[in-house]
Amino acid sequence: MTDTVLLTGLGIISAIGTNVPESIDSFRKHRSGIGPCRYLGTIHKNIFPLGEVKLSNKELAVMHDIDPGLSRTILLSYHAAKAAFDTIPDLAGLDYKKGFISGSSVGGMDRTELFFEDFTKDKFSGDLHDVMNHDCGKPTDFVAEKLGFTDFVSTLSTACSSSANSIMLGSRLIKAGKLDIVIAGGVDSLTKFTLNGFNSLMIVDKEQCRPLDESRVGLNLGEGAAYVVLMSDKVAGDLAVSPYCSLSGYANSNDSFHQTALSNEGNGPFLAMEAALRMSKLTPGQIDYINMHGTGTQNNDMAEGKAVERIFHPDYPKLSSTKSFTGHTLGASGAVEAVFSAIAIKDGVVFPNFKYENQMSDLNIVPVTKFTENLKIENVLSNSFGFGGNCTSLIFSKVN
Amino acid sequence: MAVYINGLGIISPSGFSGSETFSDWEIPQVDSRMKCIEPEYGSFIEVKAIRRMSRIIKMGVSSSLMALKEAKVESPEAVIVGTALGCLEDTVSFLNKLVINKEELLNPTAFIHSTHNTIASQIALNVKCMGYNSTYVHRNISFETALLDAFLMLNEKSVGTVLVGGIDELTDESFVILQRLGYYANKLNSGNRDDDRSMTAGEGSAFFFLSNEIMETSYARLADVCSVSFSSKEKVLETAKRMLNENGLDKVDLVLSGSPGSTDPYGIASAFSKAQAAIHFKEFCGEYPTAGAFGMYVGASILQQKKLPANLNAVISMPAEPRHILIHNNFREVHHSLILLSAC
Repeated sequence: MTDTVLLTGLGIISAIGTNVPESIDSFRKHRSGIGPCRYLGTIHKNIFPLGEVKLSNKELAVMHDIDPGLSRTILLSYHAAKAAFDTIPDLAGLDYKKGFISGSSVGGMDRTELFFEDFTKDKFSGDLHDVMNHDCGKPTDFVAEKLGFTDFVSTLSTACSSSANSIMLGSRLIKAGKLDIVIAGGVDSLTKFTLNGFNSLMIVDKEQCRPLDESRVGLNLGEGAAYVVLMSDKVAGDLAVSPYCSLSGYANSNDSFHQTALSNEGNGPFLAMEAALRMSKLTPGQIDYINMHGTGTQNNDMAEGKAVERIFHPDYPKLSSTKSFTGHTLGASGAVEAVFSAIAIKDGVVFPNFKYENQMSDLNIVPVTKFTENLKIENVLSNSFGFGGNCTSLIFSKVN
Repeated sequence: MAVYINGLGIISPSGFSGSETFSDWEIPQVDSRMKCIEPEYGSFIEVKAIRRMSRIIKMGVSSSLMALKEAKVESPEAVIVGTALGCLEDTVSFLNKLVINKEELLNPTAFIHSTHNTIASQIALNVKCMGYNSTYVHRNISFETALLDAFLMLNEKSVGTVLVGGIDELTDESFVILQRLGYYANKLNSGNRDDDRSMTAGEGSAFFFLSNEIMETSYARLADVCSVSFSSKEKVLETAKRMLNENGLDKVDLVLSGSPGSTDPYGIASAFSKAQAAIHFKEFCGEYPTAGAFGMYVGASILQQKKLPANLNAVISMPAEPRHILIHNNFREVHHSLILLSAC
C-alpha cells in the first residue's frame, strides 16, 4: 500500500502535435492548432474552425501497422497510449499488475454516424463494420490487449471530465494495492454528432475561441488522446524511472444544478477544487499554476472563474486555458491537460492563452498570455468540468 | 470495512420493486426480446420532469429512488452508474435527425440527453447529491467496475454511503443492430439457441444503496467484486478460488451464472457451489451488458428472503440458511466478473 502515486510517463496527440515535444513547441511558438478541418466530413467545414489532429486515419494506421478501417477514436487512443507505454522499462519477467483505464464521451461515433447514413433509410443496410466499434469500451479493449495491460480494464464516461476521472481511478487502484502500474487517460475524435450537438446549443465559436475573455462566445471543438503512466514511488524506484510529478490531490463532485450548465456561483467546481486542495494538504497560496477547464463558453468561464475567486482571492496563481490551442477535446481534455500540467512542473514552464484582450466583467482573473520558462512550478491545479455537472479537479506536485 | 446492501430498486422484464414478490416472478415468455415491465413513473418523479426524460432516464431515476426509499434515506453521498450503451434512445434520435436534416436545423434536446453520464447526473439532480459522481461504460463489466469503485470508496472511508447501479436499455434500433451483429439467439443467426432463454435480448435497471453500516433493511454484505479480462478459463477459476479463500471460504451455497444456456462452461458452479448447479439469472432479464446488476439483485434477494425463485428452469436445492452466493457473469468470454455476497 502506498500514499504516493507518481506520473512517470506521458503520451499525447492533439491538434498541436503528435507527441510531447511537438506540443511544447507549439506553445513556445504560439501556434494554435485550431483552423479549418481537413478530415471531418461536415457541411460546416468552412464555418467552424476545429482543433483537428493533422493526420488522416490512414496515416495514423500506417504509423502503427493497424487497420485504417477502425474508428478514429481507436487510432488516436492507440497512438497516445503507445507513447506512454514506451516510457515504461521492459517488464518481462516482472510480476506487476497492470491496468489500462480510458475515458471517452462518444467512443466510435465517427464511424457510427457513417453507418446511420444508410441505416436511417433502411434498417437492414449500413456496413456493420462501421457500427461494431461504437461503444466507448471498444477503444479501451483494443489498446489494452495490444499493450498487454489487461489485469484491469475500464472506461469512464463523464462527458468532459472523463479522462480526469480515469486518472483519479488509476491512482485509487494503486493506493488500494489492486494495481502496480496503470496507463490512464482518455480519447475523443471529432464527429459530426458532437459538432452539430454543440452547435445546436449555440456554444460553438465561428472564430478562434477566446476562453476567459469578456468577448468569448463559445468553444472550438478539438480531438485527441492523452495518457499518463501511474505507479507508486516504490515501483518507480524499483524500475529506476524518474517521475514528472506526483498526483497529490483529486476530487470529483457534482454541481447538481442543470444538465448542460454550471451554477452561477460554480458550486460543483468550488467543491472539487476545495476537496482536491484538502487532499493534497496544500493551501491555495501554494498553487503556482491553474490549467483552467476554460472552454470559452459564457457559462463555464463565468462559473469556473467565480469558483476560482472563491478559493484564491485576492492572490491568484498564474492561470490559462490551453483549449485555446488544442480546441476542446471533450473526454480527452482532462488527460491532455494533465500532460501539460506534468510538463509545467518538470520543465518549469507555464502555458499561455492563445488570445486574450478583455478582462471578464465581475471577475478579477487574468490569464497568462505568453509561454513563460524558467519558473519554479511546484503545484499545478487542473480542472475538468462536464455536462451533467461532473466536476473533477486534479493537483500535480513536484517530487522532492 | 464491511459494505452492506441496504436498499435496492429494480425495473426488469420480470417485474419491478413493489410489484409481486421476486420469488414468484415468472420467466418472461417471449420470442426474441424481453422488455421491462415498467412502473407508473408518476409515483416517483414529478409529471413535469417526466416529460423531458427518455425511458432510460425514467428507469434509472425511479429505480434509484426505490433503492433509497427502501433504505429510508433521502440522498446518498455518491452516485455511480454502469451503463455500456448509455442513452440510446436520444443518441439514435439525434443521429437520425442529423442524417435526415443534413446537419441543419437541429434541436439540442436529444443531444443534451445523449451522453452516457446523463443518467447519473439526473439521479444526482433528483436526489440532490453534490458528492462524487461517475459513470462506467466498459462493455459487460460496466456495472461491476461501478460496483468496484463504490466498494473502494467505502473502504477508503471517503464516504459512508453510495448509490450504485447498472442500467441499459434496448431500443427498436439497437435491437436490430445488435441482432444483425449476431449478439442474440434468433432466426437471423443460425444455430440452435432458439430455446436458450439467456441469449434472448434483454434490458433493465438495478440500483443498490450501499453503506458501511448494517441497517434493519440490509439484504446482504458485499464481500468482494472483481473483473477478469482477456484471460483463460483457468485464470477465471483461479481468481474465483482466490476471492473465496480471501474471504475464508472454499465453497459458496449458490452460484448465479450469466453464462449462456443452462450450462456451466467455466466450471464455476461445479467447482465452487455446494448446490453443484447454477441459477441462470438471465432467464429473468435477458442478455444485456449490465445484466450483472440484475444478478446481484437476485443474489441479494435470495440471501434476504432465504427463498429461491419458484419458476426456475433448473432444479436447484438450496440449504435452508444460504450464507454465501457467488455471481459470475460473462459475455463472449472477453470480460468476466465475480461478485461475492454474504448473508448479514
